Amino acid sequence: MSNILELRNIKMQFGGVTAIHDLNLNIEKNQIVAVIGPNGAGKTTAFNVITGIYTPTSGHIRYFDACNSDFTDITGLRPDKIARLGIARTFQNIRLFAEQSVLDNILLGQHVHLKSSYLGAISYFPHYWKEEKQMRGYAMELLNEIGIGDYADADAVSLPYGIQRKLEIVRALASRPKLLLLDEPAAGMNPQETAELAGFIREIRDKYEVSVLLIEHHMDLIMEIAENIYVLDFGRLIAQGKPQEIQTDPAVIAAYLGAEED
Amino acid sequence: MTDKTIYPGLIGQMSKKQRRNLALTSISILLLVAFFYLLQNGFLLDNYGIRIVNLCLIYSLVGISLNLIQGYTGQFSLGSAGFMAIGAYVTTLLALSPEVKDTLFYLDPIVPWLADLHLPFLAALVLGGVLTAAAAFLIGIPVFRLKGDYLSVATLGFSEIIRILFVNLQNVTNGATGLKNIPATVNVWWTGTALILAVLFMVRLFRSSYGRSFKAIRNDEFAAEAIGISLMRHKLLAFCTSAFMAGIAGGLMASVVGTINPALFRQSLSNDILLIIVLGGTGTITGSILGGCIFIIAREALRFLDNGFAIGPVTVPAIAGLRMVFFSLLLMIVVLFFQKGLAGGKEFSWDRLIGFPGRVRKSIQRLLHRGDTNE
Ligand SMILES: Nc1ncnc2c1ncn2[C@@H]1O[C@H](COP(=O)(O)OP(=O)(O)OP(=O)(O)O)[C@@H](O)[C@H]1O
Ligand SMILES: [Mg+2]
Repeated sequence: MSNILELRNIKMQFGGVTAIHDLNLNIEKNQIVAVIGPNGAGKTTAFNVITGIYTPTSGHIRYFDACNSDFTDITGLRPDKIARLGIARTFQNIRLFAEQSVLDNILLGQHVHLKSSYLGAISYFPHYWKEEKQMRGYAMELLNEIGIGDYADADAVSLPYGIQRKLEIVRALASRPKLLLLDEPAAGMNPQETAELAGFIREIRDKYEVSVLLIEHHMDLIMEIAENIYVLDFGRLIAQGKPQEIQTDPAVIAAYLGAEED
Repeated sequence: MTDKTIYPGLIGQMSKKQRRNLALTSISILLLVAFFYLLQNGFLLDNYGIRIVNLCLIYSLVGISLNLIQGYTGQFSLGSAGFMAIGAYVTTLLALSPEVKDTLFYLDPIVPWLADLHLPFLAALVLGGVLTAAAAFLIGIPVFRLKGDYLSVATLGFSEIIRILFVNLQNVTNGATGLKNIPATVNVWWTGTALILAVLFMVRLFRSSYGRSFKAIRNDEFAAEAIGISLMRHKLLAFCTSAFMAGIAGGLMASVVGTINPALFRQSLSNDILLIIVLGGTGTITGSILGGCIFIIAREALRFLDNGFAIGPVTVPAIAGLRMVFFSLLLMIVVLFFQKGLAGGKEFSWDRLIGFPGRVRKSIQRLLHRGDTNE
């Protein structure tokens, strides 16, 4: 097995609050891994640490950089540099570019790979024109994939909620990432949309060869697509394993029963 | 979407509407050139009028400059005056002939290396813009390292520092006296060309991936950074471009007004530019130009307010600054009733102009219809 991401003894403190205690986590290439846990367990914080929004208090994050075919330490790197290395994410509360079109949102996902210089792009040299055309082609391909090619010019936030979630995933995909982090992608979706989303996540994993780390509260979705599950509670890792193992793990059952009657 | 994917110049691939718009644009550029020609040769306005037109174009340019960093990229700047000051002084000092410099610096002689430096006006102007952009770069590096809105404070301080520096650098700037007898090199061709180039630049910029990224930063810094947009690099690009334009505007203005001194570049100048973009509408080129022209024309037309006037039997004494009261009222009205500015937050386009009568008719019908159903 070869990992794409390794978290080693990650600890994240905010003042007196320890949001994450000593977290170890591995994601294998092309694997779908889930992080679950009650509210406030530290799941989003883990994402924020991986993507560079927070620098962990201690511990290390190693990422397999396909360009160098070697691991690099990405602990505390700036978010845009981490994104450039191939880690893309979505947010728990959707963060689309509200005043920009659906198409622009996807094009922005590709900006990271733009080769033309600032002045080259503005003077519209043929080289830039080619790049822009390619970006638009790929963007339309992605939009058609989620069936909203006809809404390319619409305001991103004018779309229905479920579509906005998918659009945000596709914006992340547009940067051609190697690792995709999805923070509660099924939040606010009905059971049918959730079932569709499960298929969609598996599809993009196969088609675009990305590894997926996802946070979810929808257990049926997790049980269906996750190949490995990490369970956090109050910032501590209380269990890790295959879906069947997690389902019957007494510590997990206790944490969930203690937290909510769900 | 389709109209942006076509490479400009491939007329054969354009739709009917695009060809019509191209024709309309070409015709208006020709009309504009004719207008500039008639203006410059004194067929339309006297020298005073020409000066007003020049100032309209220059203030529109500064409006665009501020809109680029503030309206489009979302970084609040209060430094327009400081940037214009650098552009004005650099351009003028480089373009003035050694003889004129000699007569100007009669109190304290000018530093030798500057005394003999004499460049053609265009070179001086561009260099003025470049040095202004360099100043923006130096401010931007520490400020953009911080998360949060520190640019306004930094640029406010920068503007004051520049002004005080220029008062005290006697051997370089001639201190508080400033520079006089600046040759009137700049005419409508210069200001017109500068504005048209700036507009073209902006249109191209915001159809490119870089312009999209600027807007994305305004929309949501977090999300922009998460998809790999370097905030530092893009804010610096926007800020330096904005400063370059303000520097060019300053250089042009110096030649149009003929005299510059540090007092010309007080904070109130930055506030005027802010007024222009709020009045016209932040985030649009159309708004910047509308705001710039309205501001300059109103400032001249309302000169009487400051000089005292009579309404019938009532005589209002001269109150300096009464004009600003008018502008404040205007600003309040705009903020209350036209939140997106006088341009309505939309960019000018032929389609909008041609569709305008239809839209007016529709909204009147809607109003009438609403009256019906309310009865
Ligand atoms: N920037 C911060 N400053 C202080 N405390 C924080 C910060 N970010 C997160 N926390 C705290 O860390 C803990 C974990 O929060 P986190 O958002 O990671 O939870 P979560 O597992 O994603 O929960 P949910 O399921 O509700 O999204 C919470 O107690 C939260 O208050
Ligand atoms: Mg969360």
